Amino acid sequence: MGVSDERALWLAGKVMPHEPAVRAWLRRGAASADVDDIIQDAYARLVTVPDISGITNVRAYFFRTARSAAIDRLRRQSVVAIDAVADIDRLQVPLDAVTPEDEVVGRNELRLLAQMIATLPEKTRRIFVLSRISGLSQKEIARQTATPESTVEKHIAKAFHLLMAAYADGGYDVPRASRVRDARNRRRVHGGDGHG
Amino acid sequence: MHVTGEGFMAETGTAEAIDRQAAVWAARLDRAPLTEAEQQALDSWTADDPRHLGAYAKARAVALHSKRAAGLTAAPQVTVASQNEAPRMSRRALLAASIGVVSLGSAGLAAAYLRKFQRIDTARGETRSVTLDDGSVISLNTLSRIEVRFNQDVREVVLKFGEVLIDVATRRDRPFLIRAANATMTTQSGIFLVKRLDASPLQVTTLKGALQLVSDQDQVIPLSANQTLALGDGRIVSPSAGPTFLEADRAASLLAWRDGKLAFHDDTLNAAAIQFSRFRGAPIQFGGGEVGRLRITGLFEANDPAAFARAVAHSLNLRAEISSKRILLSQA
Repeated sequence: MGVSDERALWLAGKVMPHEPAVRAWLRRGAASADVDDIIQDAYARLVTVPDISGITNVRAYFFRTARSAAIDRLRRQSVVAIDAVADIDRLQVPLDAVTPEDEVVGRNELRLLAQMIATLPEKTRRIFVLSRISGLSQKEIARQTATPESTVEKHIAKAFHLLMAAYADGGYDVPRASRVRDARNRRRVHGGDGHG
Repeated sequence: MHVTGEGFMAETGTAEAIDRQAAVWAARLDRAPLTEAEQQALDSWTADDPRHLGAYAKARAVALHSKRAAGLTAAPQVTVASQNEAPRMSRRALLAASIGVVSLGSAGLAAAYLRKFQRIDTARGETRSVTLDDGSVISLNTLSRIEVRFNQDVREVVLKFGEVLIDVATRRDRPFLIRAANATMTTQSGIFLVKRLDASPLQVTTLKGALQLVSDQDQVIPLSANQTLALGDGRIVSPSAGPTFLEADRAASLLAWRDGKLAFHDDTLNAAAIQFSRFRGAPIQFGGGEVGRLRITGLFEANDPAAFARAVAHSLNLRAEISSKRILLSQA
């Protein structure tokens, strides 16, 4: 199953800016369910919807898709916590999801993107800017910066991954103290030294 | 209690690994069209698990959408008002030079922002303080260099070398980034001391407020007020050495340089000599290795190593030979 360019751009422009809100909402109602997995499931559904032209309120659609992905994920568990099911049932699509916010998203899109790129690690950002803004191919970047092509590709991959994470956090809300990944890293970094 | 809790925990690492793998695929596709074998591998990977497909869709979305940043180059030219050449500072009088950086339209400017920056240096023995256009104040210790890149979205200061005290003005919509060595620090407000000397690890101290540090290895390390952290080569020096809390009276001595002083607290003469070597005056040398290992406590004029040597000689019962070329401390 491929991902068409058109669908990918729709995801980036219309869907992903709402991801932080959907995540926050999932965390509230479904404490035990792994939000990361549900979000990935939801994107898989959004990319396989045959026709998106009928979706007028993308934000509400994203919420509903995430909710149904969460329920399916719970059903697949062999042992299901009763309160988890109850939580999911309480997980109503919030009222503000009914108000289309696509306009707002459009206006903030480039600004958000510029901010995310600016926060990449220095070397990764240099290569990413050459690739995305100057429009150089990876081969050309490798030649211009005297960097092996494989290294250029690794930096591009790293930038993609960090931007994916940035969308999950919501680029608008810095610092990103509340993101799930932080808690994970904190454990890894501090290894229980008592200061975390 | 959630019976399924453990199962979910086991999967959490996987979600990130899947995202990472999806980004690798997207980067590969960005380099050149996939070979037939690669295409098959990708197809079977995305068919394996809906989460793979979801992550890959998001990676492709980021890959294509980020090309829209090319539109940012159409942004108007950045003009950076040139900073008045500040005269060499006296130790006590710190000049508040003002840097005017013209704000740009909201088209953003990742590109322009890479090209234009304001560089600020200090010479040997000089300290200086500058006020940035957002109201943040940066004090530079001797032999330091920073680059300031501001735009409407992000405030960024790069410490190339030396030591700076950064008092960040609160701007909720405009994060403040501090880059040094391989680390990127993000904050909204606070006071931070960042030191990067040649062979030493990067030292970050939060005197007020909090920041989040991301190392080049993507480790995320939050620092709260009055914590200090040493990073060598982008990594924490040892796994057990996370941020530690600052002792109550340390902050004042860490900032003594702002008044043209050097503060020592049971430090060796060797360490003191290294600190004095960054300021003006003759180099301090020792007649015999054991002399350099003696310890000293006190507050001294940074640009007057001779006075330091005399004081040390007196209290440690050493002999000080002072000339304009060098200062020699040896056993009496």
